[in-house]
Amino acid sequence: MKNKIHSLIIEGILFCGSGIALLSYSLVSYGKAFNKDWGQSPYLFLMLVGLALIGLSIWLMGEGVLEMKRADGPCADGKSGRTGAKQTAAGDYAAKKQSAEKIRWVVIALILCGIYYMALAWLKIPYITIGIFTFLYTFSTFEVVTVVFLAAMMAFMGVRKPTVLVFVPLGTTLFLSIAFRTMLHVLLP
Amino acid sequence: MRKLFALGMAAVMCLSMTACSVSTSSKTTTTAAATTSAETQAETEASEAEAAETEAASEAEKDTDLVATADYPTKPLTMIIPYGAGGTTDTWGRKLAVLLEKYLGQSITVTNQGGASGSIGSQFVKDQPSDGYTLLVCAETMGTYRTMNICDLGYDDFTVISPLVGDPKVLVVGKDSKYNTLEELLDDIKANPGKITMSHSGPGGSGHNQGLVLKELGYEVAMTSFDSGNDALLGVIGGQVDFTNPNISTLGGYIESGDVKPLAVFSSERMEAYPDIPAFTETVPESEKYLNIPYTLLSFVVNNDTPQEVVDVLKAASEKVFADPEWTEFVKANAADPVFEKYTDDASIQEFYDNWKSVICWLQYENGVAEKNPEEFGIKKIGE
Amino acid sequence: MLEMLSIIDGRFMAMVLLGSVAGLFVGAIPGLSVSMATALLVSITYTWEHSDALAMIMGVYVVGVFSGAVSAILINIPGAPSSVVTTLDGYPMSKKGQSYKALYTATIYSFTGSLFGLVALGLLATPVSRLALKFTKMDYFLLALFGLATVGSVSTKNYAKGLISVMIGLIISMIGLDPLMGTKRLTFGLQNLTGGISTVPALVGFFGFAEVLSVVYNMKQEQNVLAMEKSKISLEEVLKHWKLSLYTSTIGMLVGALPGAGGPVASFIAYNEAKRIVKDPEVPFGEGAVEGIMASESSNNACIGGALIPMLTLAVPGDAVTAIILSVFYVHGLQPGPLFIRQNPEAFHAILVAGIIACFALLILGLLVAPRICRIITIPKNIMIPVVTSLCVIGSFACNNRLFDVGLMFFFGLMGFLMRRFDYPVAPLILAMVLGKMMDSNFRQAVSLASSAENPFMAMFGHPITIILTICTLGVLLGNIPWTKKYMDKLTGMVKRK
Repeated sequence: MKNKIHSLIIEGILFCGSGIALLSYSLVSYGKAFNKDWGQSPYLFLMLVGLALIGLSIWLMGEGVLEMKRADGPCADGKSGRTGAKQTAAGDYAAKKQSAEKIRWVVIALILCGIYYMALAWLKIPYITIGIFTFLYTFSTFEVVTVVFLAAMMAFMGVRKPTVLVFVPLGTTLFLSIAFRTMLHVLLP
Repeated sequence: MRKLFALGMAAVMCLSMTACSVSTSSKTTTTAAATTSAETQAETEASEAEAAETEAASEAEKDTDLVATADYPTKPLTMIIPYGAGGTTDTWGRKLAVLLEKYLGQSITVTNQGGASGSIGSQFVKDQPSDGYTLLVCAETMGTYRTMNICDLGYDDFTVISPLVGDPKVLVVGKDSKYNTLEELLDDIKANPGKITMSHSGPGGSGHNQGLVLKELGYEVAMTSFDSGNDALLGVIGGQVDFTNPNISTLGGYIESGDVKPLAVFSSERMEAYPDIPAFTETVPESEKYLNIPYTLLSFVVNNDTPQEVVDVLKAASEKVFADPEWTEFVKANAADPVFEKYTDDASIQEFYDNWKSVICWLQYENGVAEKNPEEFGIKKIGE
Repeated sequence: MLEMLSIIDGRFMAMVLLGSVAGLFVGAIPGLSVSMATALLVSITYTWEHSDALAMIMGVYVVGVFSGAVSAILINIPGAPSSVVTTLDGYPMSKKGQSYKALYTATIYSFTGSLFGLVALGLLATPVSRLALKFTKMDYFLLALFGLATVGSVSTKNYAKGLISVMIGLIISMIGLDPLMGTKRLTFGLQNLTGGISTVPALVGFFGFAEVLSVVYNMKQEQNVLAMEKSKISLEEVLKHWKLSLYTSTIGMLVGALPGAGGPVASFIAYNEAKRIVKDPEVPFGEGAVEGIMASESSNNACIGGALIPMLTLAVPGDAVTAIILSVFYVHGLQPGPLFIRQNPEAFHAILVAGIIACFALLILGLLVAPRICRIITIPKNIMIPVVTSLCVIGSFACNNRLFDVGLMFFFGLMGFLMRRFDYPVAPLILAMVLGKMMDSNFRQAVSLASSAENPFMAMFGHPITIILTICTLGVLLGNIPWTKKYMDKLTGMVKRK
């Protein structure tokens, strides 16, 4: 439990820092701006947000200190974390020990997405248009890259059936491409 | 899963069918499609006989109207509106797009790319290939991006196909206001400088520029920037602000319903649709030199290195649009200032924009609204 | 009344139904937003008669708002900011295998909510619009602040963390050109940030991609396939909250009528009220309480009718979709404004009737689709998650047609993932992001207007609505701060005894 309380204070310091940074940013920018009317200044509200953030971070730190004192007694307070984490996957806290390994998974997934993004940004595959009656279907970089990405991501997540690995990416991409490129005229890469 | 996709496909197909069957605008019938930029290539496997047939049919039908040549336009166009949906620019842009479709023989997809005073959408158009397939309908802020330090774009980055319309501005007060005429209002402003509140649509925008004109003329008002022209108007109707100066298009039914009292048209002449509202120059004759230009101005432009043939096709098409009864009626219904009628050849368009930039940019710079000296960008002060 | 019904013919019905089906799909697919669909419809329906165009658009609008809940419940990606609250209880229910029950509740209460809103539009348009005009700049700011203050208490036990999320959201919303002066703020010299951060990449990132990362994180622990709970759901059981739903629908309608606040604020306030009123729900709020879904869905659908009121009577769009409907009006030569309902009764009736038909279409489609689509949670996660990722990518790309937003989406996803790990709720952040610009501009306008008045303080806080809102906001704030809470409780106890 010590770990948890400690983190509250650290978070408080982090947010306090960003609040101060925001405050100084808005004051400095205000000083530089050529319009000196506070009422309409773009930095007025930003400054208030900065102040509020500093206040909140002090509150957070205060709570951290309080919990630290209370930690000597039974750790009933640990429950409060659990309810707040309703959106978090259920086993999130129970398995903190293996978190190093889990974080590795996340990093790999992020790298996969990064490659996907890079491919979308840098690859240029010519537009290919297929016409079926008057219904024109065009595909390009996005479709090709997406099929590959989907298959890779599925393989990474442990899908081993070849049929699934081939048809689900193809089907999804076809659907997305028709919905967005053909129907909505989104200028896909 | 597959079932779900099938269902989705069915819905999409179904949507597309209705789209095609009801919309009368001619959809893509050409077989040679899609060559967006130099590196892209097109390949088509359409059943050619059928396509040719439809093409012939549509050509026969539209033979007299089409201004398109063999080379342009051969595929659907995109029109960028650099503001959100529902605003003045959007309304006029969409109207123009629909009528242009009729004369270009290709469909035009209108896309809104709002934000940052319209500079984001404009930058997007600038970044597209200059092949005339991406059109832009921009508002007057295009002329002030540089001096306001928003971005590096200006009218000279684009070729103006035509100025479209100006939206006249009217000075209004709320129905319970103590002011009944322009004189009363101006006298009170003189007596209490900086105390009479005025709402406008945003700095550098048309409403703000007028506030600056008032200031130049010696009437000091407390200006507050609102989110939009309509928002500024509601501030007056709700009694929070003393007066404002909305575009006539946003003013709509409020004059008839009696929610506002119009005091003057911010121009040198009265409007045709509302002949009872006096022109500002009738009360303040010395304002003439500021008021001979439209304050809200829409323009139809493409990238400036677009081939001349393409520009010619677009100019011919827009001329046809301006003659279309649907367009003229729309102009009348919105009480717009038909700027497109006044400036038709390149030289007068150029002169018009130079004059406009000069008046507005210097007005803003001298009142501490614009950040940069217009001279940096070669904008001369009027009368020098 | 009779002349209203004369609009209905086969063609009109077909248009509404077609719009409804399109709305269902558009709303349910994350990244495809209702506003995109209506924007597309504007170009398609241009040459149509305006009653047909309005019929179709109303179909898309009403059903689209509801179906945002579908993806919120099934895959934890709200289709629009107004469905954010639905995820709070909807997704936990799905995880327990009760996705059908959640969808069923959402359908029923979306139906009643929309119907309520539209009836209010028909009967109360003019008085409500007069009321909306009474709201000053300061009131809008306070209303948003009130919404944000409730949010902190809605979604976490630790109020401070909720408020910190709010602050982060506000900071994100400040990025870009400021709405009043056009000055660049917090752009760090990036041209792409000049336009600010749009809601869609943030929504998709914070919910969708963060969920992807969470699943990846727990890949080895969690079972791959969720089981469906097989149980009969009786209509009576679902309908037993009807009294509360009338209250939340009223909140939705009224907040919807205030331009700028709209669905997200309404659903948060409604959720907070439901939480306050229902003292002992069967399942705690936030862990799958049907009351939560009820409050959120009835209020955000009631917003439709509400948002149409200022659009029709004041030409002020209440949200992104009504902004586009407004342009449909202009394109069709109709001019919304104070005289609109009197001068164009047929267009007004077309909207009303189409909306009401769309409500029934919503009910039918919802009941038809829910039992089928709820099986989506039984798709193995290792297939679903990659598909969701590509949906996230395309959705965030589509809103502005630029890859930069996709990068932002990934960034926000990572941020959302970290926030979940450290117990910071994401929902307040999204609401703050949506409201930030509006709060900023309204606050500054209020200050600017007051500064030329003789008594600035009175000019800012002197209006009756302002006083009420200030008291409400302070009440919520003080009632949640641990140090002041006991005094507040004593105070309310005293008031109750009297």
